[in-house]
Amino acid sequence: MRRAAAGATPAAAAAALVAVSLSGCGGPQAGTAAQQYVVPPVSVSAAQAGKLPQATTYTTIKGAPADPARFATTSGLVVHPLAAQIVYAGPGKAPIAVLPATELGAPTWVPVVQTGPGWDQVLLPSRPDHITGWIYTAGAAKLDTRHTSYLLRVNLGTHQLSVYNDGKLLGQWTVAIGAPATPTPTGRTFLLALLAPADPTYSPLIVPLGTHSNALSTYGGGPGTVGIHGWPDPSVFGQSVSNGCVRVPSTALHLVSTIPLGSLVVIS
Amino acid sequence: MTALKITKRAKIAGLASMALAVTSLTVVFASHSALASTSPHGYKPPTTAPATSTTTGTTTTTPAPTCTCQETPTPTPTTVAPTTVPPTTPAPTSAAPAPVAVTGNLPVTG
Repeated sequence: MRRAAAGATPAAAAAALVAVSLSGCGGPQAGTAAQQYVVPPVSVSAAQAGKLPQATTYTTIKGAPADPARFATTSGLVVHPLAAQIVYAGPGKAPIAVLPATELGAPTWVPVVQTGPGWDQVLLPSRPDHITGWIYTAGAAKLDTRHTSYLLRVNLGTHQLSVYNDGKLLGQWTVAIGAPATPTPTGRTFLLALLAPADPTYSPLIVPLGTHSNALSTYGGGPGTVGIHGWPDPSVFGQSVSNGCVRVPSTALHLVSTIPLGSLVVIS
Repeated sequence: MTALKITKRAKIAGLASMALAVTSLTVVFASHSALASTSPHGYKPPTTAPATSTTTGTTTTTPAPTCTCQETPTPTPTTVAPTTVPPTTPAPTSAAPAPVAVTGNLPVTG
């Protein structure tokens, strides 16, 4: 569904209010309506917004709050900004970034890890890994808020990728993960995009995640983004051989390519 | 003769008493003058305004707790009128769309 949200203008700031009782990690919860007072956002001018970094896989954002629960699952709520949204360090706190409406040529979808009255805390795809930001949802700008029932789990110890839908296991595959010198980063992240390289070499599809290699600050000219993709040589599956990416069999890649962006990926 | 002697002695005694009284008054006056010159607030004889003297001393040397309390605004409960806001999370949300592959490339850490 679409819901109105305010970007940078706290017009209703004066009217609003205090005391947010945030829901716990693991997903949004409906609070008691009588206690839902909305903290207004800090006013951000267009000039100030223009100086904020874009929350993309290419950027580094300073002052962003860390993921409050790095291995927890969420309720499945995901949001897509229909227009660029200011991202704040917290309700009523400083702006830290701008979440663009598109990432890598496709609509931006980010998972919500916590909600409060008028605010959503979302995972961000930027460096450093495991950062979040807060989006004001009670104003005038627009967000598309949806739900995904999919969950991907990567078990580094067993080299297993498991895909769930509504808690039901859809499939499990043995995959290749990062080599000891370039390990696959752990924690929860999300499906950032679905790319079809014009001239594919090792995989027809690439699914970048909202996380990066801790060992490689750049890779092949990119920002060291970790992704899920196929691999032509099946002998790698079950091995720790990649530069951090998760190499999966073609059947797994096909399924992953149908899962909504923003869906959670928990790597442990 | 005896009566004359008695009268003389009485006069002498009276003079002595008067002299003693004058001396005492002088000492009292001198002591009051000394106090008046050394007191920082100016000495005032107790008979003139004892209450004023006491009040002045109290005001300058002892912080009045009442004033201190009055300087700190007493927090009054901020009563924000209950404002109805949309529920934080709309109950049912529709399913997120399936992704559409975009032609492009990002050099991920293969």
